[in-house]
Amino acid sequence: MEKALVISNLKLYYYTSAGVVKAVDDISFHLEKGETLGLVGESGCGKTTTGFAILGMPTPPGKIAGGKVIIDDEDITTFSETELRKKIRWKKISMVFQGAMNCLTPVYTVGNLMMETYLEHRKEASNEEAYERIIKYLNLVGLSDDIYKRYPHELSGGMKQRVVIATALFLEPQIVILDEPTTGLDVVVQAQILNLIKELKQKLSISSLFITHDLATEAEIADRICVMYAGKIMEIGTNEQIYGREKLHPYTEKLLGATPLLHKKVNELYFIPGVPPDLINPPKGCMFYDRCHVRMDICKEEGPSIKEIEPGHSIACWRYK
Amino acid sequence: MEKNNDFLLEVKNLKKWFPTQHGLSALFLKEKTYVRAVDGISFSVKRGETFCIIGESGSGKTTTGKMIMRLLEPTDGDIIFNGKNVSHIKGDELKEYRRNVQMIFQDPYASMNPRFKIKQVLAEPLVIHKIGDSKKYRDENSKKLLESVKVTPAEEFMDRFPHMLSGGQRQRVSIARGVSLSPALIVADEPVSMIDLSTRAEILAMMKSLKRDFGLTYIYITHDLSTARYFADTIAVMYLGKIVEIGNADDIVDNPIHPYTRVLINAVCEPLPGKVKKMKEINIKGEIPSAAKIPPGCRFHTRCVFADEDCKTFPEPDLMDIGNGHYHSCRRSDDLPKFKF
Repeated sequence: MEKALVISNLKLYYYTSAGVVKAVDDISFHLEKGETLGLVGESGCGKTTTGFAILGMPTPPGKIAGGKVIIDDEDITTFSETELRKKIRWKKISMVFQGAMNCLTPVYTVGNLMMETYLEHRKEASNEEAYERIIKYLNLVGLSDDIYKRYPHELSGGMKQRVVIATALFLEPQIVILDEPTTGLDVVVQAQILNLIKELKQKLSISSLFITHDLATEAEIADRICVMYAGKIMEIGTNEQIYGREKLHPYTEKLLGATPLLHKKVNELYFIPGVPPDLINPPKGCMFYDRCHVRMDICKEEGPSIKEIEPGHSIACWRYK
Repeated sequence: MEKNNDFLLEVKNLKKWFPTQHGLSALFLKEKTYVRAVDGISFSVKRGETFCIIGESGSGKTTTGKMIMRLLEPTDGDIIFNGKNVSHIKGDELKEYRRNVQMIFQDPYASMNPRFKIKQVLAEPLVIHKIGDSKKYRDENSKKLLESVKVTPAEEFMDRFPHMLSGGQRQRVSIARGVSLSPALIVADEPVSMIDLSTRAEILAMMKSLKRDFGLTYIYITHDLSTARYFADTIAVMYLGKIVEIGNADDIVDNPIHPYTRVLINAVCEPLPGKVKKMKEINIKGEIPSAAKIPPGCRFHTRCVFADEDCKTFPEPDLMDIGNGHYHSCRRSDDLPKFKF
């Protein structure tokens, strides 16, 4: 398989007055053409920060402290802001931001909003061309033509999210980063949006990074899953390997235990006691040591590196050494 | 009224209609229009059970919760608590009632006064209800409460402000505040929907153990069926201001009758392999209609894929009993295909 995006040893640190927060610390993964990679973890584990790092726009005081983001044989971390804006953002990688559907400009119609984005990126394009493209993508996400003239307040949550998805896709990027696109929606609408993303994936053969905290949603959508904890990758595996639940990182195991199953009556839900470590003074050994149920002596002393334990399945845990 | 000891709370034909016109225009219009947020619902909550109200946004579940709390006055119908009709009580009576019924809100960030320390947050209900006038007693009490919801070390947290706590910790504090007056009934409105997944399970487990320790009864309002299955004994499914199906939690999930309940169940994501290639089956059309314009006939017919002509014209069906306390309101239940998840 061809690789659409390769991330190697990427680091994003926040330089705060209290110290350096290692929000994303030395992570490596790749995204194959046409696949959906799920990025999961608790809040504060660095999922969204990873998304921002890929687009080259860390939130101040954050800075990319090392590593490469390779797309089409070019390392885009070396690009200047202007280059990123001209060549990368929305042309090659676009993003559906978390809660973006609630941030649509209330005084713009959907048409205004999309037209502005289109013409900003395609300066040579005519208005007619832009209009055609907008309508095409509105239809593609299951909206009718008259949405073009509507204001955000006239749309329901599901419709707004469809508009945001259309806006992320209509410049035909190769990669789209979806940050919690279904959170805050009703269950039924959530399922409809998931179906839409599945359908678009087949139609447009687009590669995507799907960020969420919910392992149940990820099971529906991701071909491969990448589990993050405290800025590091704990496990990467295929959908079958992760949800088959045979060999798992203790953290993934705990996360799955905390996700209720509808059709199996459980009397006790498992939870992960404690809180994630302080990222300014991270522990010396494994990040998960304090909360782990199968920890060993070595875990406290030395953090495990990520290793492939079976084809396509890598785990960072001393148990699998 | 005869006192029924099995039921802590009975709701009979409860309605909340919000008028859509105000001021002068309301005086001159002949026909008044209303948003029928809750449109005649009845149910009974047994002592010690967890009763779950489930539905989409706009189904009226929060309005129901607020009426039970008496934060809203019902337009029609009765709320009977411990054999006493509380639907229109006022003054001291209402204050006494609210001591017995407490609420946990969805948003732990908005439900606490940011200028209060945690111990003040927890002492506030005692101050209002004039329980234990010494500061020492109230501090002791706050400490005990924090320990019971596992926000420890309690002494340290008592002097913190809400913004210094994580979302999970805040929600625990609001649960502690909820139980501080030892109420009989707690209305929990989406208590875990804003909480991180790993903590969510912990909070639900804690609420379960508080229920045992304090002898509580819960009304759990949510849109999430998978936690409802784990947490609740009885589930009532609401759609556009009415209950469309009600029964014990296992029956509702394993053997749903009403097409709307089936959609809700099919829409749930489960962490199991082999689902990426398949589309989810969602048998529903369009979007939820406005509660100001409730469709005639069965109110679900505009979105139902099984609806026929009669569903549009026949009067709205009442809840039908199919045994084991399981009721539903679909008149075509015999013609529906067998449910498969």
